[in-house]
Amino acid sequence: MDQQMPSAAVEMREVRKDFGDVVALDGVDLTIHRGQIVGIIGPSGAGKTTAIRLLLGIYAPTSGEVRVLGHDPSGFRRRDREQIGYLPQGFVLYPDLSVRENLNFIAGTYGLGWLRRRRRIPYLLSLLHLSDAAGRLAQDISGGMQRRLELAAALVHDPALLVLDEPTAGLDPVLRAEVWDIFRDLQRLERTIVVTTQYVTEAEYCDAVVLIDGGRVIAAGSPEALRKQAFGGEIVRVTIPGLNWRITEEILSYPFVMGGERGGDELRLIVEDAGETIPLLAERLRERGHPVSAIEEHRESFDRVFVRLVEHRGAGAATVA
Amino acid sequence: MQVLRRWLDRVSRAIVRPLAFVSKEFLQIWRQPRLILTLIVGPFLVLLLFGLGYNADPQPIDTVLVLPRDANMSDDAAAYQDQFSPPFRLAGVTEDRERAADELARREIDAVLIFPAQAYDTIRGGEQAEMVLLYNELDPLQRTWLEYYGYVQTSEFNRQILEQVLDRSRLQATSGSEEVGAAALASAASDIPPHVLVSPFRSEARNLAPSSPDFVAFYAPGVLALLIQHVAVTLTALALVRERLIGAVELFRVGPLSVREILGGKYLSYFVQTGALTAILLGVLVFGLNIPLLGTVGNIALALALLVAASLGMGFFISAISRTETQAVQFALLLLLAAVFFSGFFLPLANLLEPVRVVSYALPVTYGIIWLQEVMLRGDAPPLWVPAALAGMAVGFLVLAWFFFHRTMARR
Repeated sequence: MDQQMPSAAVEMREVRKDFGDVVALDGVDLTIHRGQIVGIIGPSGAGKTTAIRLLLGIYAPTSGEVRVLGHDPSGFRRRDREQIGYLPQGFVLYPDLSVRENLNFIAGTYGLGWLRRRRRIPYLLSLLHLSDAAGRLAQDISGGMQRRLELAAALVHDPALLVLDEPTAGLDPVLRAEVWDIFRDLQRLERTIVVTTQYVTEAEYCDAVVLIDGGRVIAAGSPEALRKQAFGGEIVRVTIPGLNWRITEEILSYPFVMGGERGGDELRLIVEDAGETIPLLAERLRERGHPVSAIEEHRESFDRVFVRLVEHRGAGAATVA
Repeated sequence: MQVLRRWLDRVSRAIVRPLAFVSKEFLQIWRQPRLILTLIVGPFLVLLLFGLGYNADPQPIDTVLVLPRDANMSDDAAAYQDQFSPPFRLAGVTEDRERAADELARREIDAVLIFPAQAYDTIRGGEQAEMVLLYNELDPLQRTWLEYYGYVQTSEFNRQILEQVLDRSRLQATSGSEEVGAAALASAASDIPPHVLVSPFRSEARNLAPSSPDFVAFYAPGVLALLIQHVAVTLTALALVRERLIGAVELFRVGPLSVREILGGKYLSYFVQTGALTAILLGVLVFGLNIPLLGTVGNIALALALLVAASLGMGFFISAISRTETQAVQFALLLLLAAVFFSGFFLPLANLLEPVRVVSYALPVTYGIIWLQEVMLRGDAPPLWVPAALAGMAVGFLVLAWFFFHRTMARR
């Protein structure tokens, strides 16, 4: 990176954004530290794109404070903007230019000279599997390739902060996984990445997740923390053949069990810490002579975590540490 | 029955499908008030302005009468006023032919009429006296009219002289006086050939302009100027609109580009491309159609460069205020329409009323036509206000484009 970044790459304090009578965002508190991958997740119209446009300086907040790279976006200098890479939601490059020509143009707008481009563009084309399509017009490549082209354009000037609006939209699962590998590689190079996505499962790949719904932050934290928050703790799944109500009641009364539900021979128990609880539970069940066929930590899909959190929504400050 | 039902269903769908476009196109057009303005109101306004502002009456031809030296003729213009019929308008009387010709060369007057020396002696000798009409005109149509008017004016003089000759009941002899000439004519009428008697003066028109171009050569600079403006405006009218429509402006807002850099880069590119096209067009005119190029290369290069610059500026301004590509194209076409009617391309500016000429002077092509005609057909530089106006337009329109595009790029 060319300049010393403050510890917090992004800070939003009590940010509100109105469009006329429509409240797009309200009471958003957010801190994103340098080197993190932060996912902003929410349904359509939740305010994700509004949030990232505020931190990019495209929108001005109705109230509250936004600081990115230590500056108010309204006061961004050229050098601040050179530190930011942006991938918008739709395809905004030039359909009548080729893949390489588009990258050349974007590189030029960031002031990259010919020599730097000569190194950087082939590297990005290779990284994003676009080398074979370099000479093809953007309008003649698939939607997934267009998305990769835009990602390459966001990366061409090697920014310190990447703001990506649904970067994996339209990509197949294999390619999505590859793109996330790239994000992790960038993170190792101390790049900060802010990603919005409707693929809730991609939250697992983030260091921290911010859940937005109806313009408000309903939860924020690491994926594990959000899982805990959604269900009140971690989940341990116990399978006991012939499980009955008596055994269920007994297990639910254990002091380290906070709650649970039964489904056939399976019990899903809410515990504080699954790692610590499983050996204790196994020991107790063995002592009681209950025939346990399986006992393991159960990780709910993030889809379920998200749904649960939306159902039990509550405003919260999001310091994604 | 089922067959009939299926057939009716097919027919109904065949009607409904194109109708889907009917309603959609209606909605898309009527939701663009600027487009409606340019499509309907714009051309109507152009025609209305033209209809109200066009003056079909021939413009007065300000003429200086040059009298022979030592002829003891009155130098009071009032004495000759009645002898000039419209469109000729007597602007002065002098015996200094060179000075009158200089005024004509500088286009301070429109014509010089030279009364022949010893006219009556010439006529008494049985020959027509030659009345020379000098003018300085490039337009072949105007030249034709001037020669015709010269002929008509000479015929008028002939008529007046015949009236005097026939009206005089008694001639007095005074040495060296033209009064004697007229009286002497009457007495010598039997010795004068009939064609000289009926038309003692004949008109000889001479053009002082450095060239007498034909219609193609005369209109060629105007065509060049019009093409340059139209091409430059149309190309640039889409330049900023397209960025907005595809969403690239979103990237520009985030990136380190300034509006100045965006406009500057685009301007440079379009200037080079339009400049190259202009050079080709000029080459076609000069080498393909043998249009004269009497002026210097530097002069014409500057004329074309400023015309391109002003036209590009206008195009960027249109692009900055247009919301859709259709609006941008329509603005460009409206500008072309206005240019055809108000630039002096096929109708002289003098035929437009002063208030309407405001439209003329708002168009780069007007100045382009004036300048290119001067440099190509006269070899002269234009008056200073022409390049000053073009340069001012180039800067002014660019500033306006910057202002409106800056608003587009501003945070919301």
